[in-house]
Amino acid sequence: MIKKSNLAFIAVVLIVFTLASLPAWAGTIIGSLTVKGLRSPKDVVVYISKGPVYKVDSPEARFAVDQKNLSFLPHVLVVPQGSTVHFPNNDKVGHNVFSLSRTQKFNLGNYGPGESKKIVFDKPGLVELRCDMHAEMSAYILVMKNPFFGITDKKGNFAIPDTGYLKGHGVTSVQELPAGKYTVRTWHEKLKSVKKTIVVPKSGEVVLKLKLKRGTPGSLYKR
Amino acid sequence: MGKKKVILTILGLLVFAIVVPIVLNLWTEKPQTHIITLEAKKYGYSPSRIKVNKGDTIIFKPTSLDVTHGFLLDGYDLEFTIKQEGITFLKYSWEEDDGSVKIDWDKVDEIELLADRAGKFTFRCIHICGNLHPFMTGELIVLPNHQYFLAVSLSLWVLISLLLWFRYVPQKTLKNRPRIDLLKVFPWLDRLVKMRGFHFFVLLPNVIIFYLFIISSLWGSPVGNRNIAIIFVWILWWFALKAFFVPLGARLWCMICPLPAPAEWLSRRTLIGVRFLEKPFKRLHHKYLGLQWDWPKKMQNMWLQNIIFMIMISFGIILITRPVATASLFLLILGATLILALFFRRRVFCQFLCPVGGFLGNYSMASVTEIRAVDYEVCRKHKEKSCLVGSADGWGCTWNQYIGTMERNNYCGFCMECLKSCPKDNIGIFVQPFGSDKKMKGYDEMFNIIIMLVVAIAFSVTMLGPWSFIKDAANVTESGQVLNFIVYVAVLWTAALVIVPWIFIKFSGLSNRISGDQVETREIALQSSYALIPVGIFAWIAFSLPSVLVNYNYILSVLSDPLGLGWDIFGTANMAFQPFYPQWIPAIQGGLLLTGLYFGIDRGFKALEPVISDRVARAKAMIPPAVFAWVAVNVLLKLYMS
Repeated sequence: MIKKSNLAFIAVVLIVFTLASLPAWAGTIIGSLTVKGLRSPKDVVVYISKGPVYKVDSPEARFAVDQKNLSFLPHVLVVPQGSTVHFPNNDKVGHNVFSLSRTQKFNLGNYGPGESKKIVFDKPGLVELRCDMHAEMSAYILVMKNPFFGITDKKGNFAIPDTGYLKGHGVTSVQELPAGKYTVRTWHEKLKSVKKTIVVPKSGEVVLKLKLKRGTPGSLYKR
Repeated sequence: MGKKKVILTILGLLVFAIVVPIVLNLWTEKPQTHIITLEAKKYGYSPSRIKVNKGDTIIFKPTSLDVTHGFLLDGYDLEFTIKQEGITFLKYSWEEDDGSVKIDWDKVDEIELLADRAGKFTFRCIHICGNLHPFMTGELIVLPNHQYFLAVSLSLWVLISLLLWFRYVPQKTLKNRPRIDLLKVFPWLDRLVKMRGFHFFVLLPNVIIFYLFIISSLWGSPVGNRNIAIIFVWILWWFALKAFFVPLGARLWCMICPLPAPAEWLSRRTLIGVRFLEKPFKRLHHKYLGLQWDWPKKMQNMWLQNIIFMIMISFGIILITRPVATASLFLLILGATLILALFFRRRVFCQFLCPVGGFLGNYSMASVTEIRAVDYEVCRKHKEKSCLVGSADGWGCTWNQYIGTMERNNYCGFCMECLKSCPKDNIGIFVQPFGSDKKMKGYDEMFNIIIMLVVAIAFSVTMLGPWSFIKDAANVTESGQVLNFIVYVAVLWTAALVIVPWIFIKFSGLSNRISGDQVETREIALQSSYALIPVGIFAWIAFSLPSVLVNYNYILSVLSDPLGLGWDIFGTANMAFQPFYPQWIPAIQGGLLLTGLYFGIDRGFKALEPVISDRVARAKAMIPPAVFAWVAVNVLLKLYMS
């Protein structure tokens, strides 16, 4: 028989361990941005530039850059570091996807309609995609250090982390952003990047308002 | 019905005409989303007409089936470039902090548009895609189309109100109206037009420009909207002729027309002076070059002009888009005038052959300006008739008109020679109310008026309409659709020379019957056809206006590079295509057509006065031609606004 006092002790230890195994107290960043020089504030990436590094370990995750009508679709794909990205050719003609970016150089070679190739993106940073056969085709893959990024909707609203986006790509286990002080940055191929320091509370939301202008974006992470 | 009652009824009808379309337009439908696969192909879109309700969302999925095309929607901030395989670039713009406006293009798969403005909006190609590029259009109709309903309702109001007015209210006659002689009001004008060199010096710049146009047509840019001859002749001149020259100055254009000038100089063997003969030769105090025949009496009418005009407009779309075709027409006319000058005296080409001269004459009857005798009694007593046969100070009328009996503008070329040759100083330039000369002299004139109306409608369908298969049929030299071209021309000729005149004569027969069979149907047909002159003038202004408002940047662009040599004289050579408030076009066209309808019915009624003196009978007789004019106006309202 276990004594009552021992039982109480075990209970306390269990509670302490349970609490300790939970992530730290965490909040959410929500916000909106306005842009000048863009048709719509859609598809601006807002991310934590200085923060924890998490590799996403989600076997169900599925990221893809399609090739259709002489275009890469989507034009900008954001993936957590370590993700595998598929490059199916759903066009009527062959393509040759390659990257000369410092983040990751590769060349998938020429492959025809119906075929697909894939690559794991291990290094965080910006990858610019091109097609060797069609000079007008271009796209970007943003390899993020962690899943703490958001992508703006039509109205310029975003949330970090963007659970909707991640779950839509099969990333089921999304950590929450621990409380703390962070630097938030933006990236869009036609907008000058802005950064802002924010403090994420232990619970609740922090609301962020950003104004962006036309210009050249900076690099994703400082090396 | 007393005058007061009529006025109250007309006002009541006006309220009704305005309120009914407003009430009908309150009906709204539940918003829907329409996915439109928009195929662009030389020279049209499929679907060419898109009809939605206000509040609906349209998702365009564009693709081009041939070359790169554009899509610019009037009234909405929507512009995109369409390439093959559905590759589309959407334009957007923004204002920088320094106030400058920047633009960029986004590659997109589909384009969403919220149709939040009701009315008719034209979408047009923005990339020069071929000969008929300026006519590559489609239409978005966002219901309820209140503007169109209002225009139809007001047209009915104009028709009913005027007929009521004629029936119940005695009309003032335009006879014995006060006359304003511009030469008395402006003595400097009197001195100016009587200067011997006046005609030559106003003509000279036009002649120089004309020869530059020929050079530009033959050796300049072969692209129509990059060629100054095409832009200035078929866009600017055509509009100015209908909107300003004819209504304000009658045949003022004939005074400065460069085409017959070399022939006239050759025939007279002088540029400025007068070759005066003391002893008349064949009634004239001048001797011209060549055989000096007079134009055969049997051919002194408009039939040849009507036929030549029909031939010209059968190839209209080719003529106005190919610089070389325009140059060929100019050279053909120039050659014809020179050859005719060797055989005939006076301006026989202008008077009996010029395809433009025919309608210029008829439409000039409505003009607010006229050259007339100051005192007809002075003319009667003056035996020499110097204005007709010439004097040492001026050539006898080159149009063979005697000012002492002249009552219409039709054949007055405004050359001002009669003002110089008249020793009695008895000729003035008068201002008159719009639509004052009302005597119609023959079926040739009536047919000309009907031809002009039919061609205005036909050109509105072919050039302004969204139907590419009609453009292809008319554009035979590029499309190669010979059979369709034959059908197109056959329909045009049959409508203009058989069907519509036949309907009009039937209407005139009805007029005669309901007014008591007092006169010959021919008389009623001729006089009531006058109603179609104001309708025609305003219809042509309404037709030409979009060309100017939409293509004004091409006017500035070719001015900077008139010969297509890559010049940029005024810095406007590479102006972006940006129509001038194109969303206003349907409303302006509606207003013009309603104005034309008012003047048409009113002046048509007054033109019937000499043949039916009884007012009530005349008012009844006016019903069929007024309805005819109303139908013509409504066909155009439908084309322009709905």
